[in-house]
Amino acid sequence: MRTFAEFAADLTGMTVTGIKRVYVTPPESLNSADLPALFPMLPEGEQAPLTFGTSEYSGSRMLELWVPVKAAAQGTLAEAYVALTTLMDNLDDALRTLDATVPYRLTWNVRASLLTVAGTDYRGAVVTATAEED
Amino acid sequence: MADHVLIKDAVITLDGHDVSGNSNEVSIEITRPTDECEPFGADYVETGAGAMRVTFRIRGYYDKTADSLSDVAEELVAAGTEATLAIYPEGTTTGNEKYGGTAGITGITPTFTKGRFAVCEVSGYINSYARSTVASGST
Repeated sequence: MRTFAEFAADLTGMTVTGIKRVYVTPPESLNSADLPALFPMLPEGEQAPLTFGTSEYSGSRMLELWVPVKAAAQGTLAEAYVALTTLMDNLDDALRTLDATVPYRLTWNVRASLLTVAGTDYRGAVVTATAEED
Repeated sequence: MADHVLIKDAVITLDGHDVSGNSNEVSIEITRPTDECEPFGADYVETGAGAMRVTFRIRGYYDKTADSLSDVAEELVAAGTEATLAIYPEGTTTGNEKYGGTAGITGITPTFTKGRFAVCEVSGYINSYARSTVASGST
């Protein structure tokens, strides 16, 4: 089973069109010049024995990626909508590309959301990615 | 609590190879098929238990390496030979139960599903079936 660190590295290693900066850990604050940005939140997972003895385990890893696009106080809702739907399509494309190369079953959910970083609200997207082996 | 048996580290050897690492379920079916006899002039059929028949099934994961469950089973089927099968549900510690005999493989079913580990099921019959306990220094 992929370790938590390996799975986070798989996701933050993706090339996503339109992303200006990738953080490999959650940032303390964001600079508007770096947006849209992408960073991981804390993962979760599970494991269970698969065969007699301890030779094989099944399991899953789940990780949220936060993708802030623009401060909520800036621009219009229509501009944010266009930017977000384009970005969500780009995230889908990047995840499909990643899925073709990783040694586990990758599934994901992408949703638009209001993200709060360092007390500032940002319009953005949240990817919930899951790696499963069974 | 009831004295049920929780299975964790069962050991299965087939033709001298430990295939436990690929397996997570093994079953033995013991049956006596019905025998019927219709004597001349009788008004009814006499029914009785026939000879005992023992079959087995091992479920696990398909593995491309040598000495895996699928590899050992495929070799036996290709050769058309029988081999020793030993099943230790709670492991090979002295005093544990052992089931086994001389097995013939009659079915191997590897299954490949997108996004999942490939699985393999091996089934067949057991001749000279015996249930015993593991003796000291012997498996």
